[in-house]
Amino acid sequence: MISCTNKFEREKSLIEYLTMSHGIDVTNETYVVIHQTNFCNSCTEEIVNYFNNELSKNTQKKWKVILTSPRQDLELRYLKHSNVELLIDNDFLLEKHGLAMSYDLFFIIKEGKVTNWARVKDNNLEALDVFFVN
Amino acid sequence: MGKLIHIIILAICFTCCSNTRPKYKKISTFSNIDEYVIDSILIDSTKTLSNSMSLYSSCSQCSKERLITINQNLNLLFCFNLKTQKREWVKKLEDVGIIPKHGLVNEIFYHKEDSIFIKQEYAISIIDSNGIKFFTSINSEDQKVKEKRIYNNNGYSEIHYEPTNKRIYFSAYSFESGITEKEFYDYSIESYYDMNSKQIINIPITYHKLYFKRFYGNLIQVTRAFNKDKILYGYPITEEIIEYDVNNRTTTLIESEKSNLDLKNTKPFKVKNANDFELKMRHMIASQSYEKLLYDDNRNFYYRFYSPHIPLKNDDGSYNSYGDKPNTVIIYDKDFNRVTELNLKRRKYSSSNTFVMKRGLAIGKNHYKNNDYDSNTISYDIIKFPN
Repeated sequence: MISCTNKFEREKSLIEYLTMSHGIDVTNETYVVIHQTNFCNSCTEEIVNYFNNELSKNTQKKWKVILTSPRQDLELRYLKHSNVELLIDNDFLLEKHGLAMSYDLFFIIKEGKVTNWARVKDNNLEALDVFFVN
Repeated sequence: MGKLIHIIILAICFTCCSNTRPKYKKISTFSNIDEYVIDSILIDSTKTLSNSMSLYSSCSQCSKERLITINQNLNLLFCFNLKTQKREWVKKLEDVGIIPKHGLVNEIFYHKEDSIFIKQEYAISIIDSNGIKFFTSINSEDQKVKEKRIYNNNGYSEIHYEPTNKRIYFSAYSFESGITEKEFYDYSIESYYDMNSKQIINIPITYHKLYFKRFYGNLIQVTRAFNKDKILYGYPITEEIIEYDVNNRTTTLIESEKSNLDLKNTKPFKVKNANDFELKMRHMIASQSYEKLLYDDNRNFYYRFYSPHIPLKNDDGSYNSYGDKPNTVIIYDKDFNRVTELNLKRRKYSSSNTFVMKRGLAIGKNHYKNNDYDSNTISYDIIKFPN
């Protein structure tokens, strides 16, 4: 699902999680990716490649990439980008905030609100391009 | 005439009830597991195991307490001695004849020292220290189309060998019907390979009839236990057990006692959301489920794990995940009267990683939220309830 208009049902929890658990400033525009590394069909090679590509193209944007558990291979890939802050959810706080789901998530956040968001799967990656058109 | 009618009515009543065991009320207590932990197992398995350790089997007829497990990433088969708490041997799967051509290994059963049963997607093998001593193919495309059946595990019903009749039991499900269709549940879910006749025979065991009427999402994991010539089947949404008599080929519905925490029926799941995995996960979190069933032939007890309903969201605004669900283990006597129910500590034990030993019931401590669990170890508590 790609959504410009449907509200993310747990927006309040998401903002709380980002600000209180990780001290992230959500006033300026920020891209957030949550990789559900514990789920089989999430966090696939295709999805990770896609976001790494977009990171390379959108170097002026601030990105936060959150992994639900440590993954050395992903950490190494994302840490190559200077515009990424990589976070690992070691204490299951994503679950506590209702954000551990069976699919990866992508958000654009501005002024403390989710302006756009998407459930990310292998078969909808092209549809995400709309978020990165300048 | 009046007496005759009375006798006929009584006869009818006995006939109707002959395939159901009556429920007996018994007072039972709710205890804490800590009171019954008699021992622990802790084995250093650094660099040998994948973290999940989902494939394991304790030896049913070995002279020593042993456990085998597989590291799918490294294609290695390990054997651990549970008494000495050391690794006894390790073998490459290929070296014992288990090759990728026959698919991933998805089930294992450790019968005795010279008999390990390994089920792959397309084959069942028995190996000993020299390699494969028995092999049969399953799930070929021809077979699937002809029989419209897939031999695959649908829960906690792993491959099992019964030496008395020389039968290898394994689960199955319909190749044709989807999980929202009644035909998926009103279908034989167990087969065995008869080593004498070399044939696969289907057993007339289906899902519990509750599944025929409503859809329950992901709550479809069947569990089973073997007790001599009886096989007992459990289903997540009900405390009732279906018993199959292997010799008479009859089934009996056992109205076992509920968990102390079973206060309301499981809600069905909307068919229109059948493809929404996230909603199905939430349904699983919020629903109760009767889980793994085990028989302890040393103490003549049945153990059944249970997980109650919990809310998706707590009063403080935090959400619950599947790992936040508490667990109990219900201990039943041979007639499925509840002897007691033990409260397992939250986020410590993995109720799916359990097996019966001579010493007692071993329960894995590898809950993914257990901060005290080191994933480089194999770790169990052994509980023993007095009989």
